[in-house]
Amino acid sequence: MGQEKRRLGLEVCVWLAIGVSAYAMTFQFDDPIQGYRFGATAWPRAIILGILAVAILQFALAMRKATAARGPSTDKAAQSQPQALETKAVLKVVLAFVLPLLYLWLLPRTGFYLTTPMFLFTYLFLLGERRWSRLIQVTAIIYTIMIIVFTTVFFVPLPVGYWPFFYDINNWLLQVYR
Amino acid sequence: MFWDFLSSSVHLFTDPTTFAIFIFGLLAGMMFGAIPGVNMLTLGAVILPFTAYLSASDAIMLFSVIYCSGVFGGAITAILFNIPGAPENAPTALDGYPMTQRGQAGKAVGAAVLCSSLGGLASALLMIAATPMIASWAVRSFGPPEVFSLIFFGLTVAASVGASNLWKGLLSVLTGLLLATVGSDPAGALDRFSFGSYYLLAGIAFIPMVLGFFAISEVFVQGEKMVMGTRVAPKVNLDFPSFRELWGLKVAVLRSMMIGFFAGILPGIGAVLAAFMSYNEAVRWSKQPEKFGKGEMEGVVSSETANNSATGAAMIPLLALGLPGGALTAMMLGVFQIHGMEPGPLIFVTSKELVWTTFAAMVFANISIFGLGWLQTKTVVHLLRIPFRYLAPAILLLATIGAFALRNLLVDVWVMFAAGIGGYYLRRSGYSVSGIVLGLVLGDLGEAAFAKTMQLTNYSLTTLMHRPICAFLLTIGAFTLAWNIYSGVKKSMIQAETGAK
Repeated sequence: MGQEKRRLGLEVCVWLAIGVSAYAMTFQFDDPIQGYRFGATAWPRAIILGILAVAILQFALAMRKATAARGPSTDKAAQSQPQALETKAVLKVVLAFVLPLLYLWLLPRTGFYLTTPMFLFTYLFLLGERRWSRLIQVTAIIYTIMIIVFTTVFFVPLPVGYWPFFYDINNWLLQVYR
Repeated sequence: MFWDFLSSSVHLFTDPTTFAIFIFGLLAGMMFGAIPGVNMLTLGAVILPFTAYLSASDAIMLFSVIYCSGVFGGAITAILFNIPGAPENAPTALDGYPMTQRGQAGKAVGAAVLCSSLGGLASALLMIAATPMIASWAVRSFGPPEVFSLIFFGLTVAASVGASNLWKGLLSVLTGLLLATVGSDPAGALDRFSFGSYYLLAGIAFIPMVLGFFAISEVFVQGEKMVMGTRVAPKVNLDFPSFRELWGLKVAVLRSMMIGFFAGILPGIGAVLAAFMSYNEAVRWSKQPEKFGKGEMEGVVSSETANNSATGAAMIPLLALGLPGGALTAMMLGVFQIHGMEPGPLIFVTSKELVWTTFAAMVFANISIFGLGWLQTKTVVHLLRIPFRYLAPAILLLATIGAFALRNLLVDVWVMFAAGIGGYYLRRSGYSVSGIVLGLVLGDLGEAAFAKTMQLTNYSLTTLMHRPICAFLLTIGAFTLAWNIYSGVKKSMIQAETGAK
């Protein structure tokens, strides 16, 4: 139950932070507009006040419900084994977020044509595929389809990278594909 | 009208490119709707940038066909996995999934196939008959005050569906409205929330946001379930419902058609409101309401008939007024923007071929759902065996290329991933990404309409209330909002008291 209250508290704090900071920012564009009495601030301020009101109301009602509810008592000993499993799973989930972002960061630097198969292979492995032949096959199939559709059919100018070695390799691959 | 429809139908089936796009939309919509982890919104978001390479007519036709087939396709995952393919399939899961658990998946899917097709076909025919009339009436009767009132009403109703509770629904819509204020204001072009960035001066790019909220967040959500080991493969029984069973539900079907059509006309809601309202009415009118939620076929029928009836109706505000009827029709606005066109009453004059090609395609798409839906039911078992770990990287890659291809800017891809991560946390917390996207789309339109309204009426709300359509919509919208808030507070207090006991 304490965890629930902490979660509710965190949620309302996030909304309050968003609302208060957004409201503070509206003072940066509160110049009057000729011919329009409400200016540029009225609409966003009304929305922000709505967000704050609903967030506080949601928090108040949820806290009342959480305080009144009588849930089962927590057994720390029973939770210790699942907790160890959760940490590993949480790390995998975090990695599932980080890997695409890393791919995106590398994309302009190392280029699409060389980086993408490595990303596909790694992401498939992260999601649980362990058979090397399947990893290679699925990577090859997805990569080939993307290349055919977007490079040969649609001629989308995908990044070729600007790091010296990768720039040359990507351009060479692009010439081969076309 | 008949000759326009006939010539468009001939064009649809005789032009190889148009026909190929029609078939692609039909199959891809059904497939993307049926495969767990993706839905028609994912497909729509991914192919949106590439519609620049198609003609405007083919692009809009493609999305309308995807709308028809995808809404049905989403029922498959709702029934088999309790994962609605789209928010409008959520009520379908309430009874469809319990039917699957009882080994009646075939009956549930069969009922969904037949009723989706019936609802969509009726709606498409009504759309053909009604859209030109509404378009000519709209020019005379709909000004900025009516547009603002319609958007206000649509948003108040949107807040009550899609999220885990009313408050999160309201916050979702309000968040979307706030995101829409980034950029220049419509009255004085003052720079708002841009942080000195040239990129944000024009507002947050809509297409990367849609890609992120739907495609990327879906990958993250499903990926988490895979890592946690909570995904369970369902069993499928392929028995179809009998004629007697379906004939017994004829009243539910007719009622759902009407609800779906009229709900679909409202901008900002479309099939979502249609499905929830129809399901609620089915429970209310039933002699045994306690059976709903435990595997009652009428629940599946009501939801699926209504959400497909809304597809044709949702095209009416889009084509006649330029207001989207749902998330996918909101993407269609993007298609119009890509082609430098503006939907509205004049489109029936300036782009008649586009309109009638879309009409013809939707009629034949709904007819095709009859046959293809049956075929899909036989084959979907095999498609559903594709492990999600193979689909996830493909979707990520498609979305990345799609966001990049829009303007060749990596910033768009970063926006997409940021929206994806935000969408992941919001969905886990019970918020509605559909509500955010609708707020994002309608926010700009709503504020512009509000600014013009205030200037036209000299800032007088009473003048606004003298216009019958405005008075009606604003009153109903305000009442709906007040009633929902009152009901939400009362329900929370009752739950708190029940928990204390």
